[in-house]
Amino acid sequence: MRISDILITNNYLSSMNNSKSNIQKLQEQILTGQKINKPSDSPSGTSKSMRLSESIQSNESFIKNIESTFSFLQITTSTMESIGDEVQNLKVLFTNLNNPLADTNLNTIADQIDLSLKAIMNLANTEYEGKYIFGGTDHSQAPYGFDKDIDGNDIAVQNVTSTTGEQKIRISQNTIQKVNVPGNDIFGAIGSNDLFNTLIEVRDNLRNGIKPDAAQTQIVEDFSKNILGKMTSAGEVMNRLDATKELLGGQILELQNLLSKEKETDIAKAVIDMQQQQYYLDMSYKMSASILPRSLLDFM
Amino acid sequence: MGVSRLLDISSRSLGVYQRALEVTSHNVANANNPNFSRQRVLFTSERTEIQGGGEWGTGVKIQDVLRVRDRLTDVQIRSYNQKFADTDTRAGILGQVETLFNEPSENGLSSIMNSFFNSWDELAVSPNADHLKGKVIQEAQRFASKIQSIYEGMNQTKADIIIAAEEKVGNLNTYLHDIQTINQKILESNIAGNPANDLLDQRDAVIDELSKLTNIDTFYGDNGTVSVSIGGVFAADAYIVNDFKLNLNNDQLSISTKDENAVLNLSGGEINATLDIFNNRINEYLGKLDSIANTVMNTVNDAHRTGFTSHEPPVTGVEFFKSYTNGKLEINDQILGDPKFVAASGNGESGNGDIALKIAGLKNSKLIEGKSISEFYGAMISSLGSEVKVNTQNAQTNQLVLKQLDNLKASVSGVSIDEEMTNVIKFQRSYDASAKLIKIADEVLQTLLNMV
Repeated sequence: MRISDILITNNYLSSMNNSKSNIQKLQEQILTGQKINKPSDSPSGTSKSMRLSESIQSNESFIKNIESTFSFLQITTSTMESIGDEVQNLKVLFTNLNNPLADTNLNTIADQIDLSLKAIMNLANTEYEGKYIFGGTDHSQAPYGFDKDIDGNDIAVQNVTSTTGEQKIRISQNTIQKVNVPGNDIFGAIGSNDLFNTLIEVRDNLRNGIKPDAAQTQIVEDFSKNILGKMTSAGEVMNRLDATKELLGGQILELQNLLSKEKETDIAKAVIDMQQQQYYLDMSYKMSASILPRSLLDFM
Repeated sequence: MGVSRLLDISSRSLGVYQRALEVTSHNVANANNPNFSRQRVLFTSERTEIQGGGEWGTGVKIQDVLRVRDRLTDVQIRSYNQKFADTDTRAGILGQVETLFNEPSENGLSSIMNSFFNSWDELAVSPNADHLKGKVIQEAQRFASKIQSIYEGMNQTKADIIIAAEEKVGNLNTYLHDIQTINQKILESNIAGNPANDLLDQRDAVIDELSKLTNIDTFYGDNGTVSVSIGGVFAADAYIVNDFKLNLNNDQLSISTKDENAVLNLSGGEINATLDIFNNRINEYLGKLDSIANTVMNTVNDAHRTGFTSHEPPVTGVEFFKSYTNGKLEINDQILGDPKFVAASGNGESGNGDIALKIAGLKNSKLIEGKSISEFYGAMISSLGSEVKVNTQNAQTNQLVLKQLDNLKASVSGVSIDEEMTNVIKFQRSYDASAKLIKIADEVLQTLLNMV
């Protein structure tokens, strides 16, 4: 092959350009810390890292949902505990009634029952961040209240149409969790055999000297058992949320790890590659500096 | 006879070697002109004379000054010029398009769309909370403005393409006129019997430039002229030039003759790449963007309509998005005015978040071509990325081949200073020798004269 001057300069220029563009690419990777700066740097890596980022983002949002529900659940369980305590008091009072000594102060006991009744009513209408915790999903007004019937007697009523609504949140990609304890689960339908109306009846009867009958005692007893059961299940929901939160947090770490493998520059490797390219470039400078200026002219 | 022949031969050879040195210096002067083809002097002996039964040599003459050039390499270079320019232009323009999407980053559409759906999940936690509804609206606005900015960016790219194509067609016409003018000069020069080596170099350089713009066919005539046609349409020869122009009809660019009788059938080069990206590639991506925006709007609206707002009494049948046209996704004005119009409740109760959950769940539903919205978008980004990558790689490959061909051309046609200097020594020696002979002839004549 005949070697002309232009051929030598062309070769030198193109190999120098090559080295420089490799160096520029490595420089970009080192400066941004990212292997993938645009989709064409790695089309499959891009869509993979987009998926990973989306998952991280969603998990963060699930954790946020869980955290903001947590306080709501805590209020719910502590309120249920308070209700449980009041019911426990009532049970003691009811037992005391069996003592003939109590016959003389039935009115006092009626007053105590009245206090407990009002306390439970208050607790049943507990409001947290604009939500009535036992109101199902209807937060337009307090779910329970007192009223007078046509004869002017006290009765307990349900103010809202339904206390069965379930408040649900998404805690992971495919899990929707019920997080409230609907009032209906605790107090049942408010009518004749519910706790409130039974207590009103017992109170009024006591004032008239009539002690509660077995059925009425049973209602208080059943309510107490029921609320304990519900407290347990609310506790389970809390545990579940807690566990899910842990899991999501762990997943985030794992996903971030994968994402960084996919997207981030291995700085050590990039620097070594850079040095190697620099070395090639230096070599081509040196070579060309000695070859390019030489010709027969130097010896004529 | 006799001595005068010696003078004759020697003085002629002085002229020949002087001319040879001139050609050499022309070569040396053009050593760094990339379009120059080195020229070689073809020596031949002068016609011999037969006299008195003997053969008398009459010296040397220049038969021709040859232009050393390989036409096959030229044709190959042009074909790869066109391939390289095509792939390189594609990689360049699509590279601009891909940056519009800001992927992968948290400012990309993927992350913004995901935030939008997540905000509905967050709303489900407190479905009547105005600040969460406000956040949903904010995320929807971010989504809408991202769609709009991508859309506008692509349309800007299209507008830029029209300007660039206009300019390229202008260049195309200029090159064609140049080819015709140089062809004409070559023709005149040939008729006058003068070599037109430098004109040929000039013309071939113009054709090389032309081959970067578009696919061309060249036909070389016997008289040294060339006729060029583009995509099956005659373009230029020594006498006529066909001017071309850019047409925009129904959002499609094409190039035709001035009278619009013939449309160019393009298959390569910068012009082909820009036109194809304008006519097909960008529109395809715009179409995909449209189907993402439309799907989000329609599915969110379908769910939202069945939901209840947090008014007293609740309102139902409200649409979340108002409309989507040409990249503009608009949110219902009612909702913008009052966040309570965001319908999260599935039954009218303010604590119910069924609709919010349902809308958030759309993120994972297979809504477009059997894919979820984000899968569809991911596939689109990855195909755009591959397109840029493949074209960049092809451009690199073509450039490599082009480099080989350029080397081949430089090897054949390029000037080597060493070689030229060797020639200088050679020609100078011959020149010296001829001068010496003249001196000797003079001495011989002197001797003769002294005898008288």
